[in-house]
Amino acid sequence: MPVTTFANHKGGVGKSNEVEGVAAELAMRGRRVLAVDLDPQGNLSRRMGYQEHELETRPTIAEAVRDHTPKALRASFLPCQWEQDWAENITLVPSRIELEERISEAGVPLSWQRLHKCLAPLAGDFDDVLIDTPPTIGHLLHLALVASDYVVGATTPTYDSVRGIYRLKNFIENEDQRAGLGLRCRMIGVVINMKRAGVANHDQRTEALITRFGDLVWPPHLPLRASVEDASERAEPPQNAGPEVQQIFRDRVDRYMKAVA
Amino acid sequence: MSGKRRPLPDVEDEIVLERGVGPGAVVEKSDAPTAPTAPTAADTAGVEIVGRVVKSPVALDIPTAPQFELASPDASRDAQLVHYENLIGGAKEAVETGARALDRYWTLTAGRALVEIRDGKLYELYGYTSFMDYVAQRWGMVRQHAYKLMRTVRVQQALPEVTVDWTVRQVDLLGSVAEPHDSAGDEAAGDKAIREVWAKAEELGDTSAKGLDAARKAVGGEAPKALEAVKERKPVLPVYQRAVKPFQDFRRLRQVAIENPEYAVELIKTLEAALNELRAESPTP
Repeated sequence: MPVTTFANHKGGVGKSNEVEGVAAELAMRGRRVLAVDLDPQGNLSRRMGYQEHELETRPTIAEAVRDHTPKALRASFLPCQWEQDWAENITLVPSRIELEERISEAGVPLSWQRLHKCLAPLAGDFDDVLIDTPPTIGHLLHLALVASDYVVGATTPTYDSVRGIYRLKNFIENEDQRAGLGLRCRMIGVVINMKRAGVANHDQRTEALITRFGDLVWPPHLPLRASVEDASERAEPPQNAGPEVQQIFRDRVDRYMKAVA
Repeated sequence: MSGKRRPLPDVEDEIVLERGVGPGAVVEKSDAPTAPTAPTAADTAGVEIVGRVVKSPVALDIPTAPQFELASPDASRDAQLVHYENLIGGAKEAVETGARALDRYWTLTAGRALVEIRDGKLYELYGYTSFMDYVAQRWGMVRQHAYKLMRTVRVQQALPEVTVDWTVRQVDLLGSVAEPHDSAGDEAAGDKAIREVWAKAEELGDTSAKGLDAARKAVGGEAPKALEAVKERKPVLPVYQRAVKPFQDFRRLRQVAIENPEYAVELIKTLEAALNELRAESPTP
């Protein structure tokens, strides 16, 4: 039951899309997946079938972190609403904007352990736990990292996004941060999304990432495709964009499985 | 997303929910768990995301089994040809009748439902901020198709016996004839105005948009505001005549796809949308 955080300090790089795609591929392989939406924007929740108003009267990750008990986390579990093939093995912990309120509690001693406290006792019920995070290096990411065994960075091959990954890696590897927060996680991969063919900048940034991270960069790179955005708009897994995207996530999950084995 | 929603689990205990952020935040409680009941078929199958499916659509006279029969072996070759041609003619008529009936069924069912969703802004319940986004993403319809569907509703209600492939200009023109009456709450008078213009166009032998406009003038109807407004605008034809030239050089056009495949995909979508718009506004060949 590895717990893996998907992160980047930069937004719009395909973190939620990566969680969706990996969750769908793992579920197709028969693995039980817990997808935790730790982003107050709730994009993963919407894409797995829940509009914000549908969560008005239900507990979400915001209440689970506040109460930091396994019982509170379990109360927020929802079935993924994708087609049965993809969804039957996926459980969602949804998010709403109220998660923002948890940030103001960051100064409370040991507040960064609250997700770990409610997640660790339940992680054994699943084969994989995937955490989608907001574009921050702040408290919400700390919650995810403290609860995680592994980190996957998601990025686009652009200057600012790549900088976001560098900052993420530096943060995770900083000894003071590791000691202060009690981190045990390590980076196992970097995925490159929305890569455009024939764009010199994209090729250069991709090369830079491979130079810096070496084997940690998981091929193949996900090209920029309108069909992937369409699938997202329709609240469907990215695999619905077609065989090319399905194969990319099969390859990426092969790398993931190898890394967490 | 799946057409069936998986049932949501009950929340076992009441949980304090903070809703909203900042000074406007309020504290509520989660839904109380429902009393356990025996599972029903609906529980097992989930519930429909959107309204009820119409189980029994209007009765359509569509043959469900082939009606082919071999001609009598004793018949002459001429008689055999007549027999088989009658079969083809009958099947063609059945298909065309069925298609017209289905088209009418589609318009008066889906078109009317879309009007209600648009006017009541019901699409907002699913988080869509515009009706256009809703029809495009929920039903995969291009904007022009959805609007044509809704505009055709008014005309088909007034002319139930007329079965033609309506163009946008036809339904716009006929709709505008009824509009003053509909605005005044007198739909019967609107129906009458549409029928009057249609009958006059038939009498004049031209039911195209141009013929309908002539019929409207002949019966003394008011000019549609939208069409008049279009006529008053600066001509745009020269702009398009210049723009179309690069598209006639196929060799260079193919080069676009090689230079930038992503842009080529976007270009295809733009051109397809433009094609639909142009077809919708053009007279029926």
